[in-house]
Amino acid sequence: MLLQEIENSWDPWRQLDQIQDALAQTLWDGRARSATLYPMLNAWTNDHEAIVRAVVPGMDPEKLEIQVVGDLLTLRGQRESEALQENQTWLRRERPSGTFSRSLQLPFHVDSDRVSARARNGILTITLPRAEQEKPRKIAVKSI
Amino acid sequence: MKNELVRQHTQTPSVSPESSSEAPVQVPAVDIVEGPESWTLIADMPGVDEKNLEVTVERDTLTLRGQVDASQKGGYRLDYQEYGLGHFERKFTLSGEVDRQAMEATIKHGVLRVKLPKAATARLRRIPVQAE
Repeated sequence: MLLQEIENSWDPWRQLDQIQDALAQTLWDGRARSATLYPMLNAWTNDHEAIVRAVVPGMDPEKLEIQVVGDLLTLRGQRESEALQENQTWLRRERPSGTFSRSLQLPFHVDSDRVSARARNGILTITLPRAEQEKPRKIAVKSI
Repeated sequence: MKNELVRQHTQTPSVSPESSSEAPVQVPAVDIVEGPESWTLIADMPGVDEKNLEVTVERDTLTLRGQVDASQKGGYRLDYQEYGLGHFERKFTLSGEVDRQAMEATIKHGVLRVKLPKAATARLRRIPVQAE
């Protein structure tokens, strides 16, 4: 009985399996994402606007192209890799480089004339106001 | 390339479900370049500036640590999430060939550069060969 209990509560192999699974998932998730998604994006919304942030460390904001058509935001650009001098060599190279293009569909159409963007510490923040005609309207209910 | 939709749920990539209460640690991507007189370590730490960055050396361990402002935006919903909002941390072991007194670190646009000068013993010296 006691043995049964101990086995149930502490099975080192099962625990090891769980740790291995969690580790594999963490590593693969990270790798798959960094290989395919650049730049990574987060998006916040409310009824009036969306805020999209892109992680673009080291990028000159001038070299980023932001395009908005309807409800689709597209980011394009190129991330230069470190320019090595003749007597320098790579020992490790993890930071992504190259050209990129990413699109994000927003939950509403955007007033593209009022879109603004600023970059700070390698994070680009794009503010996308919702198109006026799409804003939710309150309909007054009349009593008869 | 229309590869995702803004969805109504959030997901935290590369984080196991256990670490839900505290923001997860992010591992910065790093390049290391070797030159004749120094190594340069370049780390992507977006959202970090000189005020919330810590570069320390203790014995042989170089630690890079950067705090990110993870506060939620008031009045907004986080609808879509790919990058984590935890702080950055990564450790490296330095060899005895790094001149610890002469190390320098700078950060610009969220990219940290640490210069690790080579100690005199680690520099390549050319010994002139004379013909007899």
